[in-house]
Amino acid sequence: MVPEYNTAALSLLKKFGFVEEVRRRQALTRDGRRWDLVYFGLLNEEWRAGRSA
Amino acid sequence: MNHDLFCGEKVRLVAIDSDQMTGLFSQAFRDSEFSRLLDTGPARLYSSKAHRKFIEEELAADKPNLFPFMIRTIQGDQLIGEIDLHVTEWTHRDAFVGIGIVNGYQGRGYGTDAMRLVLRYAFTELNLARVTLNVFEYNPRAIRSYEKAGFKVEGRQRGFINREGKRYNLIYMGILYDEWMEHNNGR
Repeated sequence: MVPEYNTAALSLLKKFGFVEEVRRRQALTRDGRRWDLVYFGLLNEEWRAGRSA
Repeated sequence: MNHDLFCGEKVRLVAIDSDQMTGLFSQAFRDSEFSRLLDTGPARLYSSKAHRKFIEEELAADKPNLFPFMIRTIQGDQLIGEIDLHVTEWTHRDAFVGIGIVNGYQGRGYGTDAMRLVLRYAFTELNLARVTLNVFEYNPRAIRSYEKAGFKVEGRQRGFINREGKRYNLIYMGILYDEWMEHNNGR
């Protein structure tokens, strides 16, 4: 689960092959605006495929 | 401002009564399908004494973020289920909702009516900004009901749950205040 404003974490997860699975829209309030909460997942076979690539 | 917040078209929401709730749970969990649609854990049979202990401990814990209700039909005054709203964090004004309707009353609009009541409570009484729920992909009847109440699919955790050798997604659904207003014309 990553807040959408944490762009460094988002790109790190994507680099490791994590896939965005859920986007809880406007689930957080920070600095007077609402932000999505993004869920990532990595399946066993995706991780294996990523390692052999 | 002249609605009874706890009374819908088909059902009303009432306070948790530990005797009645013990009876409801003892009956509902006898049906393993109820358990599978409700939660991830293995279906288990508990004595009514164990159910009562669980319910009484939950009630005694005084959880200010938890808003549990029993669901009764208006016609016939039957106890048919439970619905609860759990405010995850007040600062972000989001809550998770969970609902269980006993066998025989499912698919007849009772759950949808109860959900509408809880959404109205969430948005007009607790002033939340959104409400979230989880549902297993093998529960299309529930998904239809949630869509009728105005929820939208926000994503799916792939292969979240294993049933009979197959993995199924956990679907996330959510409704924002503005969407709720539009869906219900502010009622």
